Amino acid sequence: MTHFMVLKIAARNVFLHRMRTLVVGSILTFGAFLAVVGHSFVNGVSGGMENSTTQSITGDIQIYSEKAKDKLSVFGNMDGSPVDVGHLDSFENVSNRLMQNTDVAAVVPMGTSFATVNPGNILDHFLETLRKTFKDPQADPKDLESQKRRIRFLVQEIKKNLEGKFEEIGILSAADVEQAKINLEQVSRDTFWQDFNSQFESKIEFLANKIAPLIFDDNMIFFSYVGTDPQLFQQKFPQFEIVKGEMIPAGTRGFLFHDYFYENMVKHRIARRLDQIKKKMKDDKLTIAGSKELQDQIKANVEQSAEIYLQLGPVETETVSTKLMQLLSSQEKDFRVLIKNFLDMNDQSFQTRYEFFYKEIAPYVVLYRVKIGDVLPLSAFTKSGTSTAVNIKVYGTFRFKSFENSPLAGNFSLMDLVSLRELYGFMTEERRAQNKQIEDEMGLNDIGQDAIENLFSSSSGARPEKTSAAKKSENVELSFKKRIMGATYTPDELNKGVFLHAAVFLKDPGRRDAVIKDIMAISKQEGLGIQAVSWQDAAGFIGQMTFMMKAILNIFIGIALLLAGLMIMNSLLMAAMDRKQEIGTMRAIGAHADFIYRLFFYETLFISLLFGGVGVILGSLVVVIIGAVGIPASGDVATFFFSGPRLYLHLNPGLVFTVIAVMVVIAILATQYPAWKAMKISPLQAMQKRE
Amino acid sequence: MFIKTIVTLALAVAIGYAEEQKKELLTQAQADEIIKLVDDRQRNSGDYKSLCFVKETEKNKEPRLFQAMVYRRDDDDKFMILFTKPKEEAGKAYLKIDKNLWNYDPGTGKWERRTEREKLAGTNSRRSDFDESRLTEEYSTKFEGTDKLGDYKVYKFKLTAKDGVDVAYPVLNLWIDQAEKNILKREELALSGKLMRSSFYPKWNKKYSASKKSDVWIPEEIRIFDELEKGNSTIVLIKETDLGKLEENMFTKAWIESKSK
Repeated sequence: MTHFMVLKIAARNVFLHRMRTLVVGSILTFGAFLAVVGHSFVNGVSGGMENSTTQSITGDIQIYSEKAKDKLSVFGNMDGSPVDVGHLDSFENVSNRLMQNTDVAAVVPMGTSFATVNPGNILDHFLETLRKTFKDPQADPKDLESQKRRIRFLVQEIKKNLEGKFEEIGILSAADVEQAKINLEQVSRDTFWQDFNSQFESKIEFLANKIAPLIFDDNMIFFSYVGTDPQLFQQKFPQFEIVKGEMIPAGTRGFLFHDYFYENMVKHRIARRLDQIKKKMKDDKLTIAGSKELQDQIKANVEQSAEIYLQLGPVETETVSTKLMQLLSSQEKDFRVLIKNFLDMNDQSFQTRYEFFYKEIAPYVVLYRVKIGDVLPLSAFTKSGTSTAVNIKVYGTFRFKSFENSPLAGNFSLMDLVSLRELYGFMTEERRAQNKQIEDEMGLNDIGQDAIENLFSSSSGARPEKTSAAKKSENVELSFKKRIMGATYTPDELNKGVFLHAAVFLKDPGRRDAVIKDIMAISKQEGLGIQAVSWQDAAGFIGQMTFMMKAILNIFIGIALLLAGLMIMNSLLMAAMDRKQEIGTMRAIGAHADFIYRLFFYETLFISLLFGGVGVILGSLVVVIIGAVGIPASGDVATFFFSGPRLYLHLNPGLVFTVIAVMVVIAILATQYPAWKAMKISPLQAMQKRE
Repeated sequence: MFIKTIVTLALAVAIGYAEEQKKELLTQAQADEIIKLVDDRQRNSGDYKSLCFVKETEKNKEPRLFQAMVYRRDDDDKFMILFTKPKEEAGKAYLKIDKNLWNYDPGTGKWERRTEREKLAGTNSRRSDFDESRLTEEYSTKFEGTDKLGDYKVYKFKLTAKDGVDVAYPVLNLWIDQAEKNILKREELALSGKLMRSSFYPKWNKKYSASKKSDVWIPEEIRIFDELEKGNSTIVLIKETDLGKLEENMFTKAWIESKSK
């Protein structure tokens, strides 16, 4: 009998049992649909994450010390703490050796960690400026007076703000509150300001120590950074580009904020929210009336309106006030109410008010808490609780083209490796020599904790007999030379020093696993002391996330397909029992067992391909449509996973073939048992039944 | 700048002084009395100035050494550390006035505010570490018996933070010399009972304070061991102490700035 004949019988059976076919078919359709759409989605997300990770920080492979205490995770631990990966001694040695491997395109030295900057609150900021002006012999007396007026005005605003709200400042004790009220009263009086110029130091200190702490702000900026060779980094991460300011000049110490971080964390809160609202309205076509998210942002702006009126001086307040009254057609005299009303925007007023904000208000407020060109005192903390600080100039901001809005790619700011070493606590030769000198002066030996009790002998000095004379302490020279900023370094200093880890770029990223093996082998043979991991491992929990997503999806698809397979098997089995006589008759007129098997197999294959095919086509259609339109990322979490504002899916032909192949495999597997059962039906059995 | 350094220096100058006591076993009242003495004697109404050396050893890293001048004016609750060596750190300073802790860097000429509201990531240090000892006010004392530390007979005390008091370490174990009432060993524990830091005070100095009109005990050498990160340790040496009156305008930003040119 021909295959065609078998197919015809199989098709007839499929149509004969429509209900059963439909149930099994819909499960198969669903499975195939889920496989195509789900995999495209997960591939889209993991591809986005891979791109934004490898092209912004990890490269294809990361290397680090084989003696590392923790596993390398460039994004830190899940709880936000940094990992301890130790360090490697000479970048040059390691890099030169790795570059001998023909697969390796480049090696970029790195060290990733966290740091903080505390720009202080707004009163601190104004007081420091005023102090500088007082000390400047060229200062314009008018400017000085204007600054004083602004501070006086700010103090009044603080007083107004705190009236009846002192209890909200939980940290203050009752006594502190009373003292704060007295202090506020004191600085509100004319007498405080009359002799300000002649006693500016003590007056400013009073304001800084007694009044400024009453402003409760969270101005601390906490961020991740990568210390590297900035020029090499720029060259090897081709999507790197400067957005604001300039590139750190070669051989110079410096710092670049990631533009995403700068715009989202360093910028004035109200300005940044207005930017976000504008973007959402434009890109995602959201409206304030229709979006809870935008309404919340508007509400937050109104609540934090103090961020504007506390920063404006009396003259600016006057100017802005007049313009605001015009804009809002309002007679309101209280500037604070005016600002609140102004910030309470709706879809109609947003665009005009957005423009008004940037034109009339922004020039008077501190738009960025750290300005390009500032020298930052940057502090970093190590696991053991020690902290170090370096002064470093902010040259500008940078981003990676095509994933400007990816929080993942925007995670790291950048500094030179020499500053990182200082921040991390590595010694320079000069420092080592000074250490030795101080140690000699100190004249104490290290004693381990186990032997510490030896220090407590009766003659050790824990019980001095005599009272020592209250002599004056030795005169220590208290005149220091300021260290010059913007220090430079030589290529040798950069390349021969320590580094924490490095990104390895491959000519063909597909060779990743092979190259990792090679590097491990070379390190073992030549004692380089390094270990190599894939970008995914180096990305730590971020890298694991894509793996987890794929695993969960595959489990779902697996369950759907297993269910479909079992149902197919069950229905075939029942069909075999139902059609005992038919099969028996077939066998009696000479049909081989092989024919029966094919009959069942074709039936399943027909169902699998038909319904699986429908699922694949539907899934592909959805993927193609989403590929053109994109799924908008609503909220930070989605933006994080999508590595950008929208996720575009791509249809992978390989995936379509794989799904179809899986359908065939299911058909084969599900057919085995029922077919075997059917094959065992003999013509004799069929006859007997009839009798 | 090392936060721990400052904490250590603050501790060094904040550790209490003691008096003769002969009895070996103590009643609760006697135990409270000893701890109160430690506190009382520490509230030195006069000025204080000392030359300190600090050696910070972090596991697997080269040790870092500092020399600094520490100044204190207890009357006004003012405290200042001015780093003198090495060159990279010279001129950097911490100034504490009331609840404000300021950090100065001559390189930038900037003052950075550090407050207790600020979370010092990854550190146990809080601003309260810089306050003078308020053991009686902040902790309940329990006498735990006698012990020996090297050649010295000591009393052991367990101090537990009182309810509602915010302290850096909720539990302290103190080993106090029976004869002289000097703290010889101090253990700081977390709420969970986990040991965080052990400090040893093998050398004490006795100085006459004119403002106090009596002797003041000052630790000369302190050795601190990090119990969380084994291998990290700190040695503090207080080489010279001066209890004379300090210049009136010393605890100001202007004074600190004037030291760097």
